[in-house]
Amino acid sequence: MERILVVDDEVEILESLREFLTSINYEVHTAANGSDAIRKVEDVKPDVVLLDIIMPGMGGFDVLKKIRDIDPDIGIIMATAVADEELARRTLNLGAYDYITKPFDLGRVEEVVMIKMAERRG
Amino acid sequence: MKAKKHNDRHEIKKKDSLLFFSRTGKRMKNRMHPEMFRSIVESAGDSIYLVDRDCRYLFINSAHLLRLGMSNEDVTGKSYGEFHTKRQAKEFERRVNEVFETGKKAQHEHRSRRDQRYFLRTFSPLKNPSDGEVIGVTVVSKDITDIKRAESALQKSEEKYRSIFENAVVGIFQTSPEGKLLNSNTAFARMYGYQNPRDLAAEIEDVGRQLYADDRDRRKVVKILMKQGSVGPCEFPVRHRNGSIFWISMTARAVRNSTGRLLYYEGMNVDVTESRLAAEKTRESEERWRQLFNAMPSGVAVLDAVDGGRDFIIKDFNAAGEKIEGIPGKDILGRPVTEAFPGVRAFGILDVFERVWKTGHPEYLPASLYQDGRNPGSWRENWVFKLPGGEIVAIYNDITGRKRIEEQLRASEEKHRGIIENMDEGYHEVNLAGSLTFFNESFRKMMGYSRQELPGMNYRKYAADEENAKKIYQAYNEVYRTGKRLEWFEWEIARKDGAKRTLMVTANLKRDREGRPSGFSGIVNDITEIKKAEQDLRQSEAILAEAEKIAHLGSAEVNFETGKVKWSDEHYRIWGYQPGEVKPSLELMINALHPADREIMAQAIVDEIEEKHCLDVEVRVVRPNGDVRFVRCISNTHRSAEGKAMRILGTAQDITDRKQMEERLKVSEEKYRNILEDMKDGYWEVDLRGNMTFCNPVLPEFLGYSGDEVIGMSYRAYMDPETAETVRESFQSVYRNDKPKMARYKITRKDGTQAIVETSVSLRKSKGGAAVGFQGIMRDITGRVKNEQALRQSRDYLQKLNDALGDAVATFKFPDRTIEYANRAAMDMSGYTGDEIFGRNAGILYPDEEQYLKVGDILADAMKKGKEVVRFETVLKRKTGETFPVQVTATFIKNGGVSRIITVSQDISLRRRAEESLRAAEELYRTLATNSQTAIYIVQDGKIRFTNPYLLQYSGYSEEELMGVEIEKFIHPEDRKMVRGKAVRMLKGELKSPYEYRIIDRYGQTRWLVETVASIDFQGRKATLGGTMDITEKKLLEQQLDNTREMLMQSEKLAAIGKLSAGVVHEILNPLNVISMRLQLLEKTEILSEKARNALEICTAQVERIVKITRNINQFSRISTRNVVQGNFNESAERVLMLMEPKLKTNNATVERAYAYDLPLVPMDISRIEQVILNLVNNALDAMSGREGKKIRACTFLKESDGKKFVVASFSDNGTGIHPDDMRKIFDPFFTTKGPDKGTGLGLSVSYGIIKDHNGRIWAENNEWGGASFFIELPIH
Repeated sequence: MERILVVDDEVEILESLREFLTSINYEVHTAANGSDAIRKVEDVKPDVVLLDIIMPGMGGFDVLKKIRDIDPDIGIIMATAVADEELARRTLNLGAYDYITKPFDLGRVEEVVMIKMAERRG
Repeated sequence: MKAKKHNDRHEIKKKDSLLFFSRTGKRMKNRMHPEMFRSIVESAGDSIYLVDRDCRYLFINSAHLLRLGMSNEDVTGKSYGEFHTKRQAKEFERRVNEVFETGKKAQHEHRSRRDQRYFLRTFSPLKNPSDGEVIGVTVVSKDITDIKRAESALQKSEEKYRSIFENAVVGIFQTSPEGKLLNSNTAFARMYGYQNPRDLAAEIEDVGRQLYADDRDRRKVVKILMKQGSVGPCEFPVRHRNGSIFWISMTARAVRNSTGRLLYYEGMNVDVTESRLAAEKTRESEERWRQLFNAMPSGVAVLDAVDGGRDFIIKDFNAAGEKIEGIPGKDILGRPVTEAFPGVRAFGILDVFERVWKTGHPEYLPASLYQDGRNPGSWRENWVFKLPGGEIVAIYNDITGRKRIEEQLRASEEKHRGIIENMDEGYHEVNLAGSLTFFNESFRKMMGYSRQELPGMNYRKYAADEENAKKIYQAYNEVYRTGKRLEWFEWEIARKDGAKRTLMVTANLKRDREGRPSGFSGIVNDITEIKKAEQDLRQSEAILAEAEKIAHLGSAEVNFETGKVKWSDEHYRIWGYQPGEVKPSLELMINALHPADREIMAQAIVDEIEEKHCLDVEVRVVRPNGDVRFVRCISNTHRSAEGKAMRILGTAQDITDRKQMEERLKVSEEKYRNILEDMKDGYWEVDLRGNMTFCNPVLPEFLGYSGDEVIGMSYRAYMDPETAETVRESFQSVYRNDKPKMARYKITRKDGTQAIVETSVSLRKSKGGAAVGFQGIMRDITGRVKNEQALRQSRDYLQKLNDALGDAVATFKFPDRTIEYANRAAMDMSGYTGDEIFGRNAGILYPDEEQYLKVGDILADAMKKGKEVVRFETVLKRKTGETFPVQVTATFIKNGGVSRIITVSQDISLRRRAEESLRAAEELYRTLATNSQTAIYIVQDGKIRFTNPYLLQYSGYSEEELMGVEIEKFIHPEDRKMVRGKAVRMLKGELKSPYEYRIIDRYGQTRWLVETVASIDFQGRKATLGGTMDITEKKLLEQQLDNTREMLMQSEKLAAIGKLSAGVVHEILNPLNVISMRLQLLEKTEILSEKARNALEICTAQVERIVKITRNINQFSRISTRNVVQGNFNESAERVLMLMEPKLKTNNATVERAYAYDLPLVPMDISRIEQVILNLVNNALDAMSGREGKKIRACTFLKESDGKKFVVASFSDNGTGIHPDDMRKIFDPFFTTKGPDKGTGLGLSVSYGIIKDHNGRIWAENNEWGGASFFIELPIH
């Protein structure tokens, strides 16, 4: 089963995403902060990481860079607060695969994840 | 196999796999290694697994493991039921059992619950090779989802085709080569008027005759089909069942079998009657369009793109275009536009063409200068759009003329408009014809016309007269000719009110951009007052000097305080000096007199100082060169309050000529009279001792002697000694004074009778001037004296009566106006004694000849009209020279051929003085009111009764427009009540401080006044006197200050929100995100009551609203402009309006554009500015919601202020406008008047922040015509 790591400092967000992503047949792992996320990346080897940009401690950008160092093939989807093209563009330049904006449109989440997964399958 | 059904491929594969199994099974035993077998099975893409009778997995290949997501260990030995639902397991068990029982393989389709894919599962028995007993079942599960989908797609397409054939609007048919209809569809049947293909087939035997309008058409078609195999599309007329003819378009082909034999024709018909009609119409419209095309005043060029849009071929070109270009269309048609118009690239339109061609968006190329070799350059503006056919159309206008005017206008406006408007000097510009094209406020004020009246007015209209018009014409002419500025020259104009003013003007040649003279400008100073003062002064000086010269009248002033003596130029001359030659002094003046006159003069001066007599003497001045001049001196003394003489001002009149003339006249007159009156009067000459030396013949008769007897006779011989003594004295007096004298005395004739004679006595001189004797004329007046005596008695009586009268009474002879009599009051009034005036002409009583003649006219007129009494006022002169006004009542008496006038005069000096001082006071007040910088008005019964010019000036009204009008009319409606209240309180004395309010001036502008009122008596009734000052400027400044303060506060607010927003947004969004996701998950749940679903929808909508708000708030943190470029504001506005067009359309709103097309580029962050425009347009739409005739007006213009340039844009609507209370709040964040469903109250606030960040201004105003306007002002530098 394809694995997704969801990283957010809000437990409720993690839980909601877990419920949703599991319902569409993904194996969901979660991390509540940056360092936890990096550990999980190494342990779980997720196909896709959903990563919140603004987090206490290690921020989304740093996490993004670290994950890219570990495995550049992992699809990293950034979660940004509101549609901010510039911020989004910056994450894309840093190697993020795509971005989604809060509040999440679950349809969109599914779509982005699915496309990345299909790409990985080749 | 070919005959088999569509799924035969599966069959083959299935067979292969079976074969594989059986064969390998065998081979496995013989040759193949089991691992090899395993490897093949493992690498198969299909799921393969082996189960026993209990459906336990004996083997499972990796493909299937992958599908299950499990490892081999997890599955092997476990039953199928453990991994599937009960229903699935049951089904599977049934199939397996079947195979065990029958020993035959079975196949069925299966849909996976897991991923909804289709599988073909083949269950095959695995038999023990030794006994053929079934020991297991192999299941091969093949994914046939894709095949399934293809199958269903095929099925659908077949259905579709069938349905197309049946339902096609295209008629489809098959006919035999002989012309029989083999097959047709419904559309074909219907086309020809049949219900269905059956009916058609039943009726049609010969297609050519029955269905074609002309059989020959079919033959033609068949001929082509035979030759080429296919035909069409071709159009021809066909016959309807009802006999009517209609047009079809047909394509057809001949169908042959493999041997090439012709089987039938099949084809399609389309009814093209409509489109043929449409084509006809199109042609007509094309024709109309072409006419229009050629009749258009704008040039139109239709272009075809070539070379990938890098060049364009001229396809069409209209008449106006030919005219503008000066080229016949045929010369350039078909040629590349770059070749026909070499200047297009530089002109910039080629890029526009390319863009329009590529994007399809129309564009506008603002006025630019087009130039090429044959063209001197002309300004054009172009609209370019793309036709649906792909051609590019350029519509363009030659606006060189307009452009030139615009340029001129701008050039002139650039000329320090601010300075010009604010300077005191008038500034004006005229065109070459001399009509005003520009003027400043000062000029307007000088002219006295309104702002509306002046433009275009020719100088001839305001020149004071023909001569002044000519003067300016010549000045302009000269400036035009020489190109040089004309420095100040005087020019007289007539204001609108007719008042003439003298101006100092300069004239300067104005040139347009190309350097051609375009008019004149000039600075104007009103010097009327200075001029007048100057003139008055010069005039009075000149008159004085002239008068002194003419009258030989010099003046001298002796100042007793300073001891200074001043002489006028003429005084010097009279005393025989050049002006300034000697130092004037009183001694010099007196010592220059004839020794005999020095004492007289000295005494006269003393008398004058002591107020005994007015100084009025005739003296002789002996000039340094010995000439003797007779001079009459009159003086006047200025005294201090205590009566002390401060200075004497004296005049000296050279009367020598007059004196000499008088003498000569007298002598010649006398001589003449002597002769004339030879007959009546006696003439005598005596020597110095009084002995008769000569007499005329009459004289001896008087005396009663003979002629001889009297010669040598002494005067003493014919009079008594007493009389003789008086006669002697008079001789002596005449001798001494050399003045003729009249004497009256009694003589005694030779016969002893006495007579009374009257004689003149004058000195008789020798040729050398020495006195030799006396001469005189004697008349017998005995009879007259008697009459006189009687008269004197009655006159005495009258005189006493008259003397008692307070009024001055005098009688004059008329018409010569000799003074005959004056009473005491008259004497007192005139200052003369009776002796001095009796017998003299009344002229001495008048200050000048004019007054004298005027009175004469009045009297003559009255007499002619037979009036007995006439009353008039005149001015008289006292002996002292002082003039005084009198009121005179005159009556006429006729007595024995002599007309007399009796006058009764009253000195009305006092009355006059009172009148004068009254007038002076009035004048003072009027001057005060007129020149006051306070507007003064008087209101009585609510109506204006008086205004001063200052009020007229700032209100813009003329006096006539204000007089008698209700004053409230001019007060701003909102202020009327307040003003009324305050004015009443101030009149009662309750309110002391002035109050402020607004008026509407004549031009509809609001002006601020500060006012005080007081109660006064005006023309006998109570009235209100108001004093107001125009404080509009001050108010504006205050308001600006307020605005600045407001803006500062606003930006502080925004800054605070900006700082907060980023954090807040994050904090709100996280919980919101959770809510949103939970709602979405809830929505996916299938079992939800309708109520719950409704609630869910509401929640979702509200969440979206919060998101919208946060998004807007978030913009505050991103307001700062980052991407500032030189942008075209018009383009941005246009882009936004285009973007909003659908919304505008659904709202039924029209957009009016008033762009300044020469708007310079302005530094801006285009996307943010467009966001502002979007906000404003949205706002306008919301403000007009629910209204008819919505109109948005977008306007841009260039503004200059304090030498800075701004691009200003306004977006106006005709909606509800902004409530004055809301004006200050509209830019506040979260302030909204819209319903909760619209807007977040942040649009304007964000716009404010953006404009602020551009260093610009944004504000709103209510329109006078309703609705509101939002203004954006962006600085250019």
